[in-house]
Amino acid sequence: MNDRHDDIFERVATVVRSTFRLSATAPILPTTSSVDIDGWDSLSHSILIIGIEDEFALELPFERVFALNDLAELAALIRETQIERSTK
Amino acid sequence: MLSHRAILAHVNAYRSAIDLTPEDRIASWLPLYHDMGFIACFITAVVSGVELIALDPFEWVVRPQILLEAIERFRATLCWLPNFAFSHLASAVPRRARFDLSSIRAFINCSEPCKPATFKRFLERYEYAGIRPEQLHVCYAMAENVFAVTQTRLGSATPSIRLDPNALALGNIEETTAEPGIELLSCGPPIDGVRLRITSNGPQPGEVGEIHVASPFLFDGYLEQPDLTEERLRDGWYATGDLGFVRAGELYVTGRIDDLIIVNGRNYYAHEIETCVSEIDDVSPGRCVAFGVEDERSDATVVVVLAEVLDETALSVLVGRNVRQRVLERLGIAVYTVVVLGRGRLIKTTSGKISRLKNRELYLQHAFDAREVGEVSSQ
Repeated sequence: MNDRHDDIFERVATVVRSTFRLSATAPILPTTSSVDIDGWDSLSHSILIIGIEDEFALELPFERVFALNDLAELAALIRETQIERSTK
Repeated sequence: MLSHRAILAHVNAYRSAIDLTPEDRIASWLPLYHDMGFIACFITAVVSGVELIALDPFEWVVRPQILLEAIERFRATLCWLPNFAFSHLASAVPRRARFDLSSIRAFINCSEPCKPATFKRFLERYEYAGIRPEQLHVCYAMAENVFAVTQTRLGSATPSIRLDPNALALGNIEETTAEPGIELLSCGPPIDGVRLRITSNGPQPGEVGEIHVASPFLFDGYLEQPDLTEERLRDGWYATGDLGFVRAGELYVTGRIDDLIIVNGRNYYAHEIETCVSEIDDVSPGRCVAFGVEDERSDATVVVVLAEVLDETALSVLVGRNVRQRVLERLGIAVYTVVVLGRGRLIKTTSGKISRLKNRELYLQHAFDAREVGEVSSQ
């Protein structure tokens, strides 16, 4: 079953907080991107994606995960991947 | 500038150092724009008629297990990796996945400082897959010498040495079994034709000095950079900027003389990052410093920027964002941590320059406390 968009974003925010060791109250917004968070480089981005894939039990298209501009786009990609999977 | 003659001569020498045969197979995720991916993996394979299994680097970084799948499937025998990649394979490959890696003759650690603790973690994780200490190796390499300068001997475990850190700080080599100690991995003996000398122009008098290299395949100079060429290449010797010493015929590397920061195998100069940061409106011109530190989680070198702001009421979050954005756009590197400081907080040298060394030390001692300064992180 697909998640509602808000649910997806909340779960993304939880993985982001865990990956970058942020506090539970650290503000994570749809516009948050790598320039906003300590330690978000290409390697830790891949760790984030691995964490997201575990959380949502899916595989994101790797050629697109390095072209994301912010967390809103990451959440949209998760949603899109979920829909594609459910229609197969 | 490297001639075809130099590249082919290097292939011959390096082939001998790793006992390469037509039966070998190389597995690699390294990009071809990277010296190690291009020379060690691609050119060596093409010239020697050895099969190369090449993977997409972007796919590998998200799914590191594909390298191990390729090794198992194609019975690969050789694999070059920077240090962080050993760590990534040890931590990010799904635990449920199992592999047979017994075909591997050597995983060769190169392009970044090679750490004993990383080898240990990798061994612990993949011992079940047939990996033994004799299969983990180290190479000291640089594009100026085409690629390899030294290479540990395949077939036997990489030697290491444990040193007294206080003696090392003075440039002296004193082995110790006591705590604290600094353990260094050997980079092996020079490959055929390469000569090494350790000069006495290191920052401290003692046994550690700058590593100079001469070889039949040394570069001809930097393209359109005569001053840099003259500074680094004299009388057939290349001054590497690396510090090290030789023990029992094997090279040990201890650090850098200059401000080079090597991140994921790519070279960046601290002054280039600092110039970029200084151009940001909120940052006091010239009042910033960039340096590399070892990140414990990833086992990789990451970039830290400390920057003084003109207006202390400036929002540190925004300054940090601007710093990251500017450096990423200009130099293509992600700044790992930005610490925004009030005016006059950075330490200067006696000659009035901002001291990278002293400020780095203070940063590592957590002297730039979050209460005193604007931590950009929202932790």
